Amino acid sequence: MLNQKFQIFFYRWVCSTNHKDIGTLYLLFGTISGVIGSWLSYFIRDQLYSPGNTVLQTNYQLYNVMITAHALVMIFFLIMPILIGCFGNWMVPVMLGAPDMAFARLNNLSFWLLPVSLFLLVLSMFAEVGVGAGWTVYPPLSHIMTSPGPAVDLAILSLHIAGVSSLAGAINFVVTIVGMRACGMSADRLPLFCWSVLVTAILLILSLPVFAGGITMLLTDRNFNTVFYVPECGGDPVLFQHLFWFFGHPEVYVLILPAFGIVSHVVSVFSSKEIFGYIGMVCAMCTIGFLGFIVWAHHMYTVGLDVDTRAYFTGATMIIAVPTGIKIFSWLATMWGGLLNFTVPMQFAIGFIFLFVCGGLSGIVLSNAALDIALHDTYYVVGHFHYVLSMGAVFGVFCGFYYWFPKMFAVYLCEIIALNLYRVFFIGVNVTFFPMHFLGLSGMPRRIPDYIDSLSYFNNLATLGSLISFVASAFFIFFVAFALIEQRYIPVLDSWNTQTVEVVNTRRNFVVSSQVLAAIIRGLVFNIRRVNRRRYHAAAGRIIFKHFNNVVLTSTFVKKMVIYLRKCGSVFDIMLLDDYYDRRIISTLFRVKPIKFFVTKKNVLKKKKRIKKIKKRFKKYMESIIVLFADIPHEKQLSFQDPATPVMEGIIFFHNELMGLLIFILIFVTWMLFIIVVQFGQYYRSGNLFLNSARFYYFMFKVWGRFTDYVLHDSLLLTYFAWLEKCTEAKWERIVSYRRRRRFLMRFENRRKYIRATFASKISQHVLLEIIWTLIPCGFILLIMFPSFALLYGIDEIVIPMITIKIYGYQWYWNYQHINYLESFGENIRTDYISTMVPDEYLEFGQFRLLTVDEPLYMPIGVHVRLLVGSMDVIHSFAVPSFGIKNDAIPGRLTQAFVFIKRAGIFYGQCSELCGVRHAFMPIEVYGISFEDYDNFFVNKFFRLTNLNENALSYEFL
Amino acid sequence: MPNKTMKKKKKIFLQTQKHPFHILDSSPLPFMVSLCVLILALGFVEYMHFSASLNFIVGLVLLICVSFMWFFDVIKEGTFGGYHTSPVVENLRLGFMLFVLTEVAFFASFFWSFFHFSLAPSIFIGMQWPPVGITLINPMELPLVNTIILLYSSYLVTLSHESMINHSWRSSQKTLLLAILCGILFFCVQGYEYVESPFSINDSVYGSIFYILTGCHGLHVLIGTIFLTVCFVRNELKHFTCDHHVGFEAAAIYWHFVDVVWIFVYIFVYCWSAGDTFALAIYNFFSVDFSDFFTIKYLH
Repeated sequence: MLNQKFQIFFYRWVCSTNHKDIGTLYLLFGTISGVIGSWLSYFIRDQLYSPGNTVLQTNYQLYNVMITAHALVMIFFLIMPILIGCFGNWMVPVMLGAPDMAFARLNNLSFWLLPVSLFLLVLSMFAEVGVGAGWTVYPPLSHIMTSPGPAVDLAILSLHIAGVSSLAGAINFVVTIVGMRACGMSADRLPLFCWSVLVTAILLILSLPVFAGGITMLLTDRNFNTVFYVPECGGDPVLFQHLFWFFGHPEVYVLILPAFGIVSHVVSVFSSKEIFGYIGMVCAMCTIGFLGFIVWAHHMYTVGLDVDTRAYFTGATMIIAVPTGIKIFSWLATMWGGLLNFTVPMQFAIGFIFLFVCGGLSGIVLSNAALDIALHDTYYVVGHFHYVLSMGAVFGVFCGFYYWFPKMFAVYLCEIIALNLYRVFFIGVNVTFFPMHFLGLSGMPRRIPDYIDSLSYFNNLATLGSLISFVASAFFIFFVAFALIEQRYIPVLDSWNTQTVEVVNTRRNFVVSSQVLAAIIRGLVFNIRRVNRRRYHAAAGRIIFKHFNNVVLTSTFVKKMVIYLRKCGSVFDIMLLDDYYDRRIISTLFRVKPIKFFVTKKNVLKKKKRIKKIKKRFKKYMESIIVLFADIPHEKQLSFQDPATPVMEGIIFFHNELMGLLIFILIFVTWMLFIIVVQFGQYYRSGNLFLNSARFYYFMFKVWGRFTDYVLHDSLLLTYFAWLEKCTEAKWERIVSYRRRRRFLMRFENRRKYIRATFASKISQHVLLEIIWTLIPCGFILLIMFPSFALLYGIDEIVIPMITIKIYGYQWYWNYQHINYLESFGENIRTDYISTMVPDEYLEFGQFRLLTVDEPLYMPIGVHVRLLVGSMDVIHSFAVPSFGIKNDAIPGRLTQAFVFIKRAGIFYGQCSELCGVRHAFMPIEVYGISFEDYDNFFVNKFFRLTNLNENALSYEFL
Repeated sequence: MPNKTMKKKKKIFLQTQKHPFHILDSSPLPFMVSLCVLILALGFVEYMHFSASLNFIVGLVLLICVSFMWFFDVIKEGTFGGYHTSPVVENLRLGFMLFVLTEVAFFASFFWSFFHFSLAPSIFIGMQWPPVGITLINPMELPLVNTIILLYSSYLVTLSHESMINHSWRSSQKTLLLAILCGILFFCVQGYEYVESPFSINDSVYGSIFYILTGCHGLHVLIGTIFLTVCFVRNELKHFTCDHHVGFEAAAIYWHFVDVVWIFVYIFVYCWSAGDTFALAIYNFFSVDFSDFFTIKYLH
């Protein structure tokens, strides 16, 4: 008996050749790896909750392994299997009217290769030290010298197998869509989801093998003695980046295009309208696919590409905004004039549109090669791609899941819980990823397990957000599991009471509202909704924020002051005195009330006598303090650090200019969405508690009625309905029979339908409109491109330098060589020195944790300095935010940057490219000093061959 | 009687499917393949890091066995089951073309690397291509012979295909056998070249890219030869008809693909890399004396 059961199970689920069963397997697999991936992400956020050694203690390799695994698991084993594997397998044959996929056995193979691949990846996490090279596995770091052990090989083989699986799936989809369509399903009637899967599959077929070749060469480099990425033998680490991103960029569209398809369906179905501009949508998707292949190098702006190349990739990248804009506007136009039904998938779709616009706009910021200097490999990038992936692709996953789940399993999902989960999730991801933009702007590099103390505020916030979304996703899994256990059946055929293409196989997404089914289901939903009307409260506990206050002032005076104040018995904070304060406040700071700014605790302020004493002491040392400021981000900084060079000034100016434009676009789209939601929403059928009340509806109309004649005209009638509903709502439970109520609602809807049956609701094609919304974004892009290119070429301009400094990156310190002194002193005298971070234990008062080095880089102010950046082992990145420079230090290459420092000061930066275990601990400290001091210092330094004390230096030169 | 025929008709109606596509029975082979791949991958890592090749060999042998089982299944369904209707054949053809497209993209990555290294040679290899100190194989000797062999073999496969379409089984078999022999000959010559070549896989980036390109190509030649051999055996067993021979078509497409890749490899990796040597070789090959012409031009 057991044997027979097992046999049935085995044949159904292991040997399956049924596309639906395989789709279900994909869903299950994707969920499991999603759990792994979010668990990893939660660990990452937990580690970053506060600065210092928190969760992982000093096991930074484990942190690197986790970020690597998080990315790979989420991309290859969560989003791709669910979006393409599950929804593609389930829905594409059904939509095409095909009996099954073209190669059913191959289909099963492409599923069964995935668990093997995931197993190898998980194994790689635990094999010796794991893969700590990031998901991009850039070679010198992933080479056998720097990542020994079998872990990287396991990961490479895992990627190979996942690639084979994806390729088999992609070939299968193309053949199915091209060769197995039902009669009459011509290309112009193909549902948009099928189109999106087709484009995705073609992208995979063309890009994945290139990546496979790249990692094959990495494998042979590691194990078979080839030298493709070894610069000493003529190889080039940058080649791997080219090959990787030639795959990696289309991969981004592989992740998002199926989500586009799903959102198109959902928007069209729940607006009761045909999709607007079908042909435009298809062309936009194909264009996105094509453009995806020719923009790959925008991931590598800082590796030292030629300026013309960077300009080309800037332009090509920005053009992608045009087809994406077409899609966004088409969705908005689909909703315009429709009868919006705010079911859960529709909510996800609207959320997707809004957040994808946000992510897309930050993408436009990043596409500018000039701006990317300041933002490359910072948290801005992390925020950006999580906005388009975690809120784009994953929202697409949820959207498709809620939309098709009843169809797939014939199981009812409680709409109210789902809706509230959506809200919690929405809030969670936004709280997680929005602050990351600020962190990135203020210069926090990616992939660091520990950060400087002043960035703690937004990191705390992000961890709180990730806690919220983690709880929401955990709850989601239980919610779905319970729904499956409970098995509350609903009609499979038309679960969302709209006749869509899945019911009538041979039709495009052409919506006919089926009245009978609609009435039945509406009744069912209404009953349930009445019972569970209580709101679900998100389980977001209070988290106490730790404040790590920066102690900035480096001078013996402040030390004395602090000791004095401590003796007074007060706990106090010393305010961050950086350039920001220097410019605006410092003059008033020292003359008027100097203490007030320094001592922020109230009880200290009250003790006026003590303050007077301190004031007297303070005045003596005023001058020595004024020059001691540092360029690091201060707490809650929202934008760039203050510029010290013309380049950075240009970047900031351009960024501000660009932000104005982008905020305008964002406000426009938000405004459109708001109007659509308010005007065309049908709140009676939905489970939306917030918008459900007639009063809210009426209020909104009153507000907006002032602006549009159209709305004003309707509002009288709607006021009447609102009043009517208000009157009857209380009595409904008792008096009005269910049947009457339903009839009332039907009549209400019919009336509204009649009212809304304007011109807008009927059209699905408007050529002029489409031309307009293609051309206007083009104009915007031109508007952006001119200043962008001007800045880019301006930055790249070569000026004859007065000083040349050669900077070499090592694991994990910097080596500075002042080349000009090489000639004057001869070869016998060392003109280079290394600068390593001062460990926490040896930090003196007034030094920054993670930023202070034992011997800083000295640079003269007011002259042109050329920096030559290279590396001796793995790829590092020399970045100083206030200078506007970020040059990747790549073995075998020298990249140059020109710096003209305008003012004296201490400037800080951190290595911005993942370079191994202590990636976060190779900071850059630059002392901007006058040219004479610089010259004197080096003459003294190199003749004496002594290492000067840092504190002494600060007195001497500042 | 009419009742009986009606029943029969009804039965037939119920049994026949209303679409021309092939609905497969469930099969354990994909799962087995994935298990073999797991053993293979783990064995490969073991081989690379712990010098133990047993698991790798076991995985490889198992994978080959399971693939053969899979191919037998396909042959059973296609040739004897008659499931390969014309739409299915179209699908198979398209699928195979797409597979070849992925192979093209795979080779594109190696050619990309080749041009990356050769068009801007780095300072570490003397800023010249081929790198300093590398003696190349003379493209006008064995490689040229190899090119001719492979081109001829490709021609023979086309000839065999033509004969198959024109109902001449015997000539088709003959030419196919010859094509297979050419493939084997190519493989042997390539092996000889590997043994005799004056540089190793570690001799600068030229050695690496040369061996990975020719090695991958050689692997594809091997696979293509096996593919053609299978077709030869199947043709011997009369599996193919003049208008239904998908397996053979696929093998032919694959063989042409291998041929085209070789042409690119020959032109760029052998000839174009050789540069002056190549020009000299051509000069010797045609043995036309242009020296007077050049001296006159450049001296005066």
